[in-house]
Amino acid sequence: MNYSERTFSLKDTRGQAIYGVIHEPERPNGGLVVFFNIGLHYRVSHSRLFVLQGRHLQEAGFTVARADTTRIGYSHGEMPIGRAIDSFDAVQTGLFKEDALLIIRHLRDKYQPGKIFLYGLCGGALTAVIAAALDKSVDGVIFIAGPVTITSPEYELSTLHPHEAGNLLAGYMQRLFSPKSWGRFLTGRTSYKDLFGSIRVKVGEKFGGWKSAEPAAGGDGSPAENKGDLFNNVFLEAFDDIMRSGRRLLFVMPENDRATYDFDKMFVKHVLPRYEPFEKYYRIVRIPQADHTFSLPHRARELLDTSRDCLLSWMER
Amino acid sequence: MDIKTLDFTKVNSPNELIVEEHGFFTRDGKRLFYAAFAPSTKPSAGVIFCSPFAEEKVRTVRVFVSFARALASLGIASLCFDYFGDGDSEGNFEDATFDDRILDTEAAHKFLKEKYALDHIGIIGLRWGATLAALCSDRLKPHFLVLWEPVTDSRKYFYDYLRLNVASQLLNEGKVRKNRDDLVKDLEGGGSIVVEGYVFTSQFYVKAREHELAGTAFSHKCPTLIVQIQKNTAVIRQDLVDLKGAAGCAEIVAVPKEFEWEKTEKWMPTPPGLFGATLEFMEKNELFGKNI
Repeated sequence: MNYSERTFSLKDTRGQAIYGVIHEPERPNGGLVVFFNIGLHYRVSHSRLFVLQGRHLQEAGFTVARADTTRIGYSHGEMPIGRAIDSFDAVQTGLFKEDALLIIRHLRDKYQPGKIFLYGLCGGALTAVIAAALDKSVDGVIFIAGPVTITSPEYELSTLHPHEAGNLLAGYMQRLFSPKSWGRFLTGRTSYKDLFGSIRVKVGEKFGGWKSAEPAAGGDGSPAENKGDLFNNVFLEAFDDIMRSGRRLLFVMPENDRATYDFDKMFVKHVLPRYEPFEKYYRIVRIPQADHTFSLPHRARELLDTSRDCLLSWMER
Repeated sequence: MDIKTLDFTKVNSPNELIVEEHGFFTRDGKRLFYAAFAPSTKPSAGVIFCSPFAEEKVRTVRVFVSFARALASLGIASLCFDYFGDGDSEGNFEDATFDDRILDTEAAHKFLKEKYALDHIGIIGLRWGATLAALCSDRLKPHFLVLWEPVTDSRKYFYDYLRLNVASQLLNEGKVRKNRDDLVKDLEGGGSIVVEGYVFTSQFYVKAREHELAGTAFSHKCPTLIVQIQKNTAVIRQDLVDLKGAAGCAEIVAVPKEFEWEKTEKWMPTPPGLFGATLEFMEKNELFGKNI
């Protein structure tokens, strides 16, 4: 296949340039897929995952755009300097939605695609669903490992998440019968903080100590709500809109990821039962043993294939 | 604009005096991504940026972009580019050899030189990108060289890098099947391993670890700035002192670690200490147009 990637740029209303790369297929199938960054990462994503996915979809006939939203990567704009975590809530409640809408509009005008799909990982998944709710020309969203919670940085930094506690505890359990490990434990070389902290969190979770907050339908998701792990109501509103407008949503959730833990605990358990009438519009695919960034190549491959197959099926609708 | 009035925190704002162009140039038939940043008038000199290795590049791209914009506002053209198989460039990471990265750097140098008809081009590199920059200097004969926290011992660097594979085994399998020495044996035996999602091949590893700055004698002497980036700025590491001796007309400065390449907990795309020290060096060496 000939190399057919090229750069593109556009400007927002403040004159800030947004830069990206377009993958143009040899035989376009009429589908346009727009990718959105992970948090503050730029358009190639971890270990070039977006480049690989872009090329994979391009081979299947899709036109694919990977752009840096303003303030990120090569694009113009200034993000506040400081802890990255301080920006996460803003990203997850729509910080980049205006950029996303602008990019979609620009590409729609240029390519006039038959169908438009959005694809986002982590914070980019939230950007994708929020933008899709606002732009009705979007036909579907691939939502990958997106966090459905909003969390105050202080809470997150000071609290051991149950998923991570589970991982730590599983590691300790595997070494339960190892004399070497007991030697480390008895001579003070074990991290007691990790060991007892993980036990405390898992026991607390079992007996209701960890708050999996009941989502409040219709909340405005304003930053003032972000005190501890709370369900992201901006996400809920976007999901609701996509479902009620009969558009498609694929959740791809990596098994070994705290985002999936929260997704199951807060969204699948509490919210999805209310959406039974809309079951045909969404699907959940879990990738076993995959981590948040799909760093194992065979798991990344599953993501690439799952996304491609899903998008091809949506093209046939 | 001059150094004293440059506000680093505003360099990424739109600036009509800077012309930015993104595209691809070709090296041996391979299409390599570039982003060029130039003043709207004829640049006084040029700079190419050599990216660090693998995920370190992803985490630090904004630092390069920010400094390229700062330089453009001071009259210097810059080129950020992606090696073959890296970033937005053609190819797969696992297909890129050590020689590819050297040839890509040389091609980027030529491309920038021709694009703006420049006589003087310097090279700035970060981490293992600084290593590549220095290794290319004898052939490219840059006008100046800036090495941001260079990796002087490639063997140790890549050995340490394998630790991430070990951590991944622990996370995904609950135990360590292969320690770093086992992984080295695999690589030496022609195998490949995965580190942070990148396929790390024998072909690359065996050659890359042999090329290091420690013990290398440089024949091309140009003004060189070696920047040690670490928490402790009071003591200069011996490996950098040795590198200074080998480089000839080099100086070392120590700046605090203002940004991260091994994680992304801090957002600092415009590290003032690093940028300030580098601009000071460039001004001292009269690289901002006056005597070029």
